[in-house]
Amino acid sequence: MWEKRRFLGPLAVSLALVILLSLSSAVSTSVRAGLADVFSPLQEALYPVFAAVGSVVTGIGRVVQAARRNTVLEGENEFLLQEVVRLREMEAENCRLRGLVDFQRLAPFKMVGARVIGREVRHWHQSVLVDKGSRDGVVPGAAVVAAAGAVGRVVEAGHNSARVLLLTDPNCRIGGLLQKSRTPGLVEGDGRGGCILQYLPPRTDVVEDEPVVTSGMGLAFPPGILVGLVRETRSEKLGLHQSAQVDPAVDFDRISMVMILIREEL
Amino acid sequence: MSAAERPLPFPVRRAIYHPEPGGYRRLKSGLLIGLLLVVSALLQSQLPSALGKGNFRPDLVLIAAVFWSLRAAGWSWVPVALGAGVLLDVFSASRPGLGMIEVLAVCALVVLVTRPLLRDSRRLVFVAVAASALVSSLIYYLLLILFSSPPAPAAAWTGAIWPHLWQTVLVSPFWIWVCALILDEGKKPDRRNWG
Repeated sequence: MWEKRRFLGPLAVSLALVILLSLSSAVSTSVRAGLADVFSPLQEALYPVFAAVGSVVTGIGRVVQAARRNTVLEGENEFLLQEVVRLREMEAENCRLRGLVDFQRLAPFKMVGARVIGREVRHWHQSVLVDKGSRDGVVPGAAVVAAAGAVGRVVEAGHNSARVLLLTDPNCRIGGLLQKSRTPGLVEGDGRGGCILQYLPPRTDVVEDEPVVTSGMGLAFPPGILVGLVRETRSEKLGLHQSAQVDPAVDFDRISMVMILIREEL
Repeated sequence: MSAAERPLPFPVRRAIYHPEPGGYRRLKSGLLIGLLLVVSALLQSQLPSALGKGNFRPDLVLIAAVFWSLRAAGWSWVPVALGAGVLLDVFSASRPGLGMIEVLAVCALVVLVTRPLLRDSRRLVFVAVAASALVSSLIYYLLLILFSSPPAPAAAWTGAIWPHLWQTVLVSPFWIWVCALILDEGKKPDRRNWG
C-alpha cells in the first residue's frame, strides 16, 4: 500500500502539469479570470484599508515638500491660466472648422470608471486589478486612462474584475508620437517603471521634456492622450532608428481611479 | 562527559514530535496553510498600496510555501506548492501555469537539498527562503524564455531578480515568525537534548 501511495504525489503533479500545458491560452486565461473574480471582493474590501495606511505613510513626507512646491506652483498656475484662455480660443475655432468640413468622430468610446483594487504580486510584470469586468462591458484590449494620461490596456476581463497591463510592462505596446514633431513610434514599457518610444527615424530631432502622446493608430486608444515626457534619446544598433526614454505622466505607484475606454465596435 | 553523552549543537527532529498526521490534524493543518497562503497573496497584492511604493513586492507566498515544505511530512508539500503557484498566477499578469511550475520546482529543491534532521532550525528556514527567492527568479526567467518573451538579462536582474531577492529576504524573518506562529501552533520545542 505504502509503495503505491509513494507514486501518487508525482503522478498527480505530472497529470496537473500536462493538463495545464495542454490547455489553450484562452481557456487557462478565462479560468484565471474566474479565480480572480473569486478573490476580488476580498481585495475590494481590503484595498481602502491599505490605501488609507499608505496615504498616512506618504502624507507625512508630502507635507514637508508641499510648502516648498507651493511657491513654484503658484507661478505655474498663473502661466497655465493664460494657456487655458488661449486653448479655449483654439477649441472654439476647432469647433467652427469641424462644422465646416462636416467632421465625423471616427472612434466613439464608451467610458467606464473603475477603482484599482489590487496590485501585481510579481516583479516581472506591471499590472493592476480593477473592480469592473465584463458585467460592465469591459473587454480585453480596451484602453485605460487616468486624469494624468494613458495607463495601459485591459488584458483579462472576469465577470466583475479586470486586469490592466500598465504602460511600464514590456509586453504593453501602444502607438505613440512626439507631440511637436508629430513623429510616430511605438511606446513599450521598460519593466523598470518607465517607457521607451521606439522606432523613431534616426534624424528626428527629439528634445528633452517633449510630450509623447498616443497616436491613435492602434485603434484602442484615442489620439492625443498624454503618455509622458522624453527624458533622453539613444541610437539603436546599426543606426537604423533611435529610441527615447519616456517618463510616464501617470504615477503608477499611487494610481487609484482609472477610466476604461471601450470602443463601441469591440 | 563522553562524546556520546554530549548534547548536539542543533535541535534534533524526533519522530515523536512529528507523528504521521491523523485525519483531523491533517485537515486542520491543511486549512491553516491554505488560509496562510491566501492571506499571503492578498497582503502581497495590497502592500504596494499601503507603502505607496508600487515596486515593493516581497514574495510572502513563496516564504509560506518554503516554510511548509521544510516542516511537512511525506508528499504534503506538493499540493501546497501547487496551491501557492496557482495563487501567484491568479494575482499576476503572468502566463497561467508558470507560477505553479516555478513554486513546485523550488519546493522540490528545498525538500531535496535540506537534511531532515536540521529542518526545525530557524536559521535553515531563513537560508532556504533566501536561496529560494533567488532560485525561483532564475527558474521563472527560464520559463519566460521557453514560454513567453523574456526581458534582457541585465533588465531582468535590475528590474525583477534583485528586487525580488532583497525584498523577500528583508521581510522573511517576520513572515517566517508568522508562519511558525500559525503552523506550529501548540507545538512546544523540546529542549531536553539541548544541554
